[in-house]
Order: sequence, then structure tokens, then C-alpha cells
Amino acid sequence: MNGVAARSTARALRRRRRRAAAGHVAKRSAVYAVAVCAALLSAAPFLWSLGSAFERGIGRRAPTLAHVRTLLRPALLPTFAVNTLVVGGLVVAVTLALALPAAYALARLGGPAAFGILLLSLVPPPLLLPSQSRIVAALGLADSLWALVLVLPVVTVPVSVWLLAGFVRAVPLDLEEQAMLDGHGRVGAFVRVVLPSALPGVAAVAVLVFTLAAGEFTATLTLVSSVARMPVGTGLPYGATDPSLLRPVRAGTVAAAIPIAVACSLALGRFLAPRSNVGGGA
Amino acid sequence: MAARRERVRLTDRPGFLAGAALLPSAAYLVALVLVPLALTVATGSGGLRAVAGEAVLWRSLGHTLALTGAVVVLVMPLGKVVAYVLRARVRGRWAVRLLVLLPWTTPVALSALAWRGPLGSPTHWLDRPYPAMAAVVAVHVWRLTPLAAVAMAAGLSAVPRDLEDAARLDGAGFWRRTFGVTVPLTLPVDVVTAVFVAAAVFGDLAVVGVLTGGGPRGATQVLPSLAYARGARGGAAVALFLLPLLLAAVAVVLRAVRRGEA
Repeated sequence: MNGVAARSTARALRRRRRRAAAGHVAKRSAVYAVAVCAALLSAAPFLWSLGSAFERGIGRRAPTLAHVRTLLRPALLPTFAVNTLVVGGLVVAVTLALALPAAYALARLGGPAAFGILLLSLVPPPLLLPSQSRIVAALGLADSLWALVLVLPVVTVPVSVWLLAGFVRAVPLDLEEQAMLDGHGRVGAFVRVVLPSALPGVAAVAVLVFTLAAGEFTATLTLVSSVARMPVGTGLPYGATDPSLLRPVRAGTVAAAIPIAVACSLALGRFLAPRSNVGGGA
Repeated sequence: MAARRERVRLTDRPGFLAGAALLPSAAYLVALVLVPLALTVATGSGGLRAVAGEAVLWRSLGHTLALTGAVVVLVMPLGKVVAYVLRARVRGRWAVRLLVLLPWTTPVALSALAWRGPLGSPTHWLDRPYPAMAAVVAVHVWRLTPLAAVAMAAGLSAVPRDLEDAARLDGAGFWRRTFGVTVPLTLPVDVVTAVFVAAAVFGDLAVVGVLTGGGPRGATQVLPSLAYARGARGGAAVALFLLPLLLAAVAVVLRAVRRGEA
């Protein structure tokens, strides 16, 4: 190529590179802008509640902790929090006890697709709750935390089985077979090999189940009527309806919602992270 | 090497083990999902004719359908955008993810309660019928977009890189690549996501209950809240009107999964 053509080609290339770089910067800025907007919109009502929770009253500027102190009175947040923790913990135990074996069976022993079980979570609670509350009443568990422990796994077990099956499938088959060759049998292999390898995933599912149980509203509202036994999800909207409690309830909303959200996000981070093996999981 | 046992242990027979492992969950789900479902259908059918004569029922059904449709139509494109954000490599990715997921990871009643603040006293939207309905739609969209985004991000991750790269090498621009390659591949996941979003709306009691209580004067009443207000027997009859929606949802999901496997 002669000099003139070479220089114009070089100029054209520089122009294209500059345009591409500008386009790249524009794309990155757009992504950041959307991310920031999304983050702000997501946090909006909680930011508002947080602001309102420390207000002293109309016209007064200085923030006050009085509402937070009211919130921490034994009959309010502490009671609700304890109920939430107790129910959540028991529901995690029940769910894992039911879901782990089922997940193993579906992942290893070729049962029907684990996805099918997820269809159960499409069933609207209003179709189930009238009859579930009758069953609960017949068992003498009406208006107790045990009613929740009995019914909430309906929500948590299908998702858990599906997620746990994915984690079990990620444990290499040869590890298990090695354990069985060593004379342990399938159950022994499960306890000795599969569980320890899948433990991080199981932990994440446990956290997720807790947040699902803590967040469940419809079942809790239907099955538990006394305020003293309400968990945080129903206690704050319905157990503290006195108008003077408006701001403490707002503080409580943020105090309860944020830890649950953080825990759930951490657990979800495990599921969203790319798995080490190809083709593992649903 | 340990000596091989001559008789296969009972727990080693795959069929027996699979059955034993599935039994607890299966028994639980039958007892607490299928049996109550059947019971509700049985109790509800008795009151069906009476309830079908009430205008409030049909109004609530209309609200339920309109609400579900509006939310799905808004959530899907927004969720797609947020899905790209969730996958993007930005600094402080964990913080963005935490914040973006906040609407869905917080307990629904608490989010609705939090929204009652700005939507109630300052703006008085909750006191008028149309703004109240718009508020309910907005809170559902706010809450369900992260869920849709997570599901669709997973779907996007499953698209093989080489297909997109090949399309780019062939000269296809962003839009052509998106609609020609990515969309057809993510369609099954997207359809299933849309159905789960719809199910979350038409089965939901919390947002309407905590935000508006079905008001003002029944303007935002939906089937779940009406069923709750009617108690055990009346509620069953009202809830039966949700059954066709459930069956449609299941049918669409099964069809999408089967298509996806093809």
C-alpha cells in the first residue's frame, strides 16, 4: 500500500477505535446509572421509614430515639422477634429433615424431575388455608406456633427439594461409589460423603428457608390470632395498631426487614454464583 | 479392600431407598397440600352458586385479573433490564445485588407496611380508587421485579457463550443478536418466570391486605382478600374462582418446560 492510502487507513482505524471506546464508556455509564436507580428505588420505602422513625414531631428538627425505645418494649419487637426465631428455626429443621432425603432420591436415584415439585408452589394459599386451618383446629393446635411449624413447610419444602437436588447432583458420583466400595452402603455414603460436600449449599438453603418462614404472611395471619404469638411479619402490621405506635412500628419494620433481607441475599449469592461443574443443578 | 457382602442390604436396593427417602416429603405434601386442596374444593362447591350471584365476587375477580395482567406486563421488561444489571461487572457488585434484591427478600407484609407511609398520608393515593389500585400494582411490581430478574439472569447464564460470539462475529448488532439468538433460547425460562410472577400476584393477600385492606370501599378488593374476609366456609367458595387460574398456570409451565427440553 502506498503512503497516502496507509495514512488514511490508519486515520479510519483510529476514528473507529475512538468511537468504539466512547460507545464502551457510554454503555458502562448506562449500566451504572440503571444500577444506582434500581438500588435507590428498591430501598426507597425503607429509607422513608427510617427517616420517619427518628422524627420528633411536626416542626421539630432534632432526631429522637424515643420511638426506638418504645419499639423495644417487651410486648412489641422482642416478643415478635422471639416468635420469628423460634418458628423459623423449627421450620428449618423440619424442612431439611423432609427435603434432604427427597433431594437425594431425586438427584441420584432418578425419580421424576425435581422441577415438578416446584409446581406445588403455584397453588394460591387461599385455596389451601381454609382447609389447613380446619386440620390445625382438629389437631388442637389452633392459634399456636406449632400450627405454623406444621403448615409453613408447605411453602419451604418444594423450593428446598429443588435447590438441594441441584447441590447433591454437584457432588461427583465417584466419591460416593468409592465410599460404597469401602463397605458403607448408600446411607453411609450419603452421610459420610454427600452431606459434607454439599454442606455449603445446605447451609444456604437453611438460611433461605428461614427467611421464607419469617416472611410468610397469609398462613400466619390465618392461623395465629393472639398478638403475643405473632411473628414479626404479622405482629408489626396487626399487633401494634394503636396510633401512638405508628413511628415505633416504622422503626421496627426496618429493623426486622433489613437483617432478613441481608441473610436472604447472602444465601442467594450462593445460588447465583456459577457452579464449579458444568451441567450441575436445574 | 474390604470383603464384599454377599446379601445386598435392604437400604442399598435403589428402589426401596428411593421410596423411603421420598416418603416423608411425599406424605407431608399429600397431607398438607393435596388433601386441603381437595377439602377446599369439596366445601367450596357447596357455596358456589350462592357466591356466584354476588356482584362483589365478580368485581374482585376482575380486579384480580387486571392486577395480575398489569403486574406481569410491567415486571417482565423491567426484570429483564435488572437481570442485565445483576450480571454486569460493576464495582460494588455485592452492594448493588443486596439493594436490588431488597424488595423481594424483605417480608412482604413489612414492605407493604413501609410503602403505606409514603403512599398514604403525604400523597393520599390510598384514599381514592384508581390511585389506590395503581399503588397496589406499583408495590407488586416493585416487589416482584427482583424475583423475575434473578430467574431471568439464571436463564441468560444458561445461554452458551459461543452462540452469542458467533452471532457477533457474523456482524449481528445488539438488537439482532438479542432477538435472533438470546430471546428464543431464554423463552422457556422467561415464560415460567412470568407464570410464577402471576401466581405470586393472584394468590397474594399481603399487599392488598396491608396496603389498602381492599379499600377504599372495595376498589382494590381481590379474590384472596375477599376469601379471607369471608372466613372458612365462605372463603372456600370464593377461593374456588382461583382454581382455573391455577390450572392455567400449571398448563403453561408444563408446556414451556416440554418445549424447552425439545
